[in-house]
Amino acid sequence: MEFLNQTLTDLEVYGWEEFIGYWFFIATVALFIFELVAVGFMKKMTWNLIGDSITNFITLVSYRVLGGVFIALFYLAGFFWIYENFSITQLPITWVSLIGCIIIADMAYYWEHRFMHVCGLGWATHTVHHSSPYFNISVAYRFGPLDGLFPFFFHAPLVMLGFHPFMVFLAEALVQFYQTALHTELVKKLPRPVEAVMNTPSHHRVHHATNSKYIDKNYAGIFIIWDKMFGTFAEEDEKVRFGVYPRINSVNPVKVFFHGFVKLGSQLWNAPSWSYRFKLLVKPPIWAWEQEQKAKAQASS
Amino acid sequence: MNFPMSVLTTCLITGVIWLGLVFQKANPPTDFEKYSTLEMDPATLSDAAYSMAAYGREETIKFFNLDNYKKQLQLTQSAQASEPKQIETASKPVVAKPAIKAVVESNTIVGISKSIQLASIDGLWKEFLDQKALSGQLKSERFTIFAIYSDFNSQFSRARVSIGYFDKAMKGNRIDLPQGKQVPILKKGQHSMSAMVSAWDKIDYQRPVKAVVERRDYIGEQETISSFVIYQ
Ligand SMILES: [Zn+2]
Repeated sequence: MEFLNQTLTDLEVYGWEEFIGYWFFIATVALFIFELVAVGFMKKMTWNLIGDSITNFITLVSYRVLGGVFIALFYLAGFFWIYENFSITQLPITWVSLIGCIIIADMAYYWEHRFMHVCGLGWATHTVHHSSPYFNISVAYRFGPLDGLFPFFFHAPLVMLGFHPFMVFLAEALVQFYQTALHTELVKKLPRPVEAVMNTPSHHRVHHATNSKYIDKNYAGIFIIWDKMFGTFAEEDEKVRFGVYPRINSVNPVKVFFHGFVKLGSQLWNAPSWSYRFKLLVKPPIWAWEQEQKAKAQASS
Repeated sequence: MNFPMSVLTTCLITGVIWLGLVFQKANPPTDFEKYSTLEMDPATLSDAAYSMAAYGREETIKFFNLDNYKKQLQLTQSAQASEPKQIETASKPVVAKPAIKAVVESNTIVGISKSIQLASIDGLWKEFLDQKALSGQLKSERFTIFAIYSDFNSQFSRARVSIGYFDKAMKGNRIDLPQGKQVPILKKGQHSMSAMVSAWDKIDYQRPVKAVVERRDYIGEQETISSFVIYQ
């Protein structure tokens, strides 16, 4: 266990991230092909599923193109700037630190994810990820335009605590990769101890569900314990219906990628007052829906 | 748990982990590990993975299966040995972007120092490398050599050149490394002779040059080179 205390160079940490990221992507593509074959065998293949999957990868590319410049400049410069000027200490770069960093980054992920669900601005981008009526690996790559923005603010505190930016990037990436692998219907339930502690495909299916008892549950990245502790956990015990309400019923990548912001934009445009506009940005999306229902009820009475 | 309690719990867990990490028993970094720390900026990021491979510990190099890369390196090095070295002194002021912070842990080297025509630099390197009394003292296959060019004549054709091992424990003729703000002209990496020569173009010859320093780091047969200039 001696190696756990070995000091790593920052470039080694960065190298590991590149390495893992590269092979992980190849593995997920392989897994996706496997899933398609499985779907084919079950005779459930439809043109709509194929279109939806292609759209998922197009949103990935769009997100990368939009986010690429942004991530390089904003994240890197931002994190290093914080690390050099505002970190309370600089923790040694070791495997032990990395393990600690992953646990904290996993909590950061939980809060960031919860934030994206309970505030209108976050939901405008995150709704893209949830809008697929399917649940396979390609859905994990279905990104919204600003999905890269919010993690910055939730992970910057880690840099302030003294984790080297590359360690934070690696931890973030590992949480993300773990999360990605959960997007499958092929795995039903894992052994009980695993389901108890870890996030699993079963738990994450619940997160993607439109069943009312499943809404806004299971935000976890790697460990499901955060949801259990913070009261946002639900067990998968009835059949999951995937997607969002209202359904977008489209595989048009432009429509899918921007639909959250188009909707938020029109809500903002038609808003009765500035305080209403502000609430649209910070309140949960359900609030806007309730207001609209009330307005309709009033108009008809 | 309600929302405020959840946030509080999150902070508490974070605090406990953080405390543990502050007081962890981290092995102090070796000179090698310190040296490998580049000061990154976005412009150098694309090179980062590559540099990681080049500067990473041997286990990492092995893990990433860089044998081909090492072979390539040896080939270019033997090709360089036959290239004649010429130092151009064109006075083009180029602003070198300080992408790397060259870290110097102590301030002396052990080796030889002579005032020579720069055209005959190869002879001095040979003389230095032939000094078995020095190279025999090396304890590890990881070591660093500095070559210092100073006291230039006005044409930059002559200079005092000092070449030595950067090793605190070594016995022999000690030479001070020049002090001052280091402006990188060649960032850490495997460089061809022509790249090393053209690095000198980045020197601002309008300013009085105190010294040009070439740093060569070795891990076994793998050599990485960086250069910087110190102005008066
Ligand atoms: Zn979500």
